[in-house]
Amino acid sequence: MKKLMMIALVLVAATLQAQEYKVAKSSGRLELYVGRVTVEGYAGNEIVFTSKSGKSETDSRAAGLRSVNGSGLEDNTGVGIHVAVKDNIIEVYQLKKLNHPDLKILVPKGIVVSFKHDSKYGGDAIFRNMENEIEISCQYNNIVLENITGPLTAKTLYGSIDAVFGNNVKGPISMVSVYSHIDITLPQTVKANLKMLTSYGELFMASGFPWEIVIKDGMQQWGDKVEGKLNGGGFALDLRSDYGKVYLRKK
Amino acid sequence: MNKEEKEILINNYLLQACDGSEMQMVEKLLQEDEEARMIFKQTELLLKKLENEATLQPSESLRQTFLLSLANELKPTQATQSFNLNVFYKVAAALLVIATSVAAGFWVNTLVQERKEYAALQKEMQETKSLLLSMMKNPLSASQRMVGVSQAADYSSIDQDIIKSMFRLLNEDPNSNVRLAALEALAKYNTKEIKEQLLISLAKQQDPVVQVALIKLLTQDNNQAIKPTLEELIQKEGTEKAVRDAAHSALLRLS
Repeated sequence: MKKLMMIALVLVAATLQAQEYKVAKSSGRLELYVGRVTVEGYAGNEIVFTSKSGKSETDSRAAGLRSVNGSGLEDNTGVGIHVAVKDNIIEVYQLKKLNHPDLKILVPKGIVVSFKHDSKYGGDAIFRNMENEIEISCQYNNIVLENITGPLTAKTLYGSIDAVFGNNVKGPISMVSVYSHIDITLPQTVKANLKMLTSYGELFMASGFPWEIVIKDGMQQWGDKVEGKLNGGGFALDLRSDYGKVYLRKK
Repeated sequence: MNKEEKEILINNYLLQACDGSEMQMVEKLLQEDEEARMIFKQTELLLKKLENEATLQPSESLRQTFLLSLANELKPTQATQSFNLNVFYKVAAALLVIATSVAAGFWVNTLVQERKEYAALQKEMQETKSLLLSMMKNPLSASQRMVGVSQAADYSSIDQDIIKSMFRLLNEDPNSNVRLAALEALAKYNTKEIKEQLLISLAKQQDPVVQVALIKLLTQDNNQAIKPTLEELIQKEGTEKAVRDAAHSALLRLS
């Protein structure tokens, strides 16, 4: 009897988490205007939106009513977000300012993913297993990147950036955090023109990285700015944290 | 036999240069032919006179002159050669004309080649510039705009179209990283006009990350002209804490 109960609970849980919304796109640009998100790459032809929040957040009092907000957006997906498709651009909006759906999105490889969030009400922005170009612009979110290739532009004003790259890294890569740290792990064989910059923080780099410091006008730069070529140079790799620390690690 | 043949035959007979048959023929002629006998007597008389004539010897001075001349003739030919100056000048002139023609042809050819190469280079530069401007305008990819900015920063000379595009990116691009890349590229030019435009950009810049970077850049060379803008940023409602902090810090450094 207990086993039957357990199986029933698992099935109910699975049903609750199975809310999905799909958009058939394998190229173009996905623009995310949400407070937190987990984005994963996969070998498919659809963008798949899943809300982990499920129906636990549904309000029985609101039965028969439609959720509205000041922006005039409505949930047209069933997963607590508004999706608008404009030619090759897919825009995704959250409906509530303070409460964000725990959104997971699967994206095909050919789509450029943009995440933009300026409000302080948000959570982590997580991107993993992606060969896509990624653009991230936020003020308070922490950014987590796992097994990505780039190209990448990432900026957060108060949040941190943690990134572990896969083996096939593509540039340019630009990461900026004004107040928090940047922690990046790269393959030892990556070829890049490296710039590390801080004003009030510190710069750290793993030993054993094959690199050479760029000499300008016969002067070697030290202090809060480091320029060098990793493995002879290649794409632009810019890491900047004005008040935080920058860590460069090797895989 | 005519008279001439008789004279030759008799002359040979007297000089003993005849064979047996010729001698018999001469003897027969002398017995039968009056003309032959006359020729015989005259020739015999002439030969006797020649035998009796004394041998002529040259004088000593003539002999010395002859020997000297002979010795000069036997001397080896000297290396000096005489030139015909007219021919020399003609050959030189001809060579000069040929050399001038070749040089002129080479020069013209080089000039044409250089002009072709210059035109090709100009075309290539124009295409590169168009490509860079196009990359910097790509609305779908921030990384493409960054690559465009990065490569344009390596452009050999200051190009107003590229400068204009970089300022547009600095002031209007939706991506902060692109704005920062444009700022870094513009900072390399280090001219008075560009510094003035950067100061204007700080006054109207909306991106806090770029505002912080601009404050740092524009206060590096103790630029006092930035002070009013910094004070305005500090007092302005809605200025991000990071920008206010950077402005305060910059004012302290400038004072």
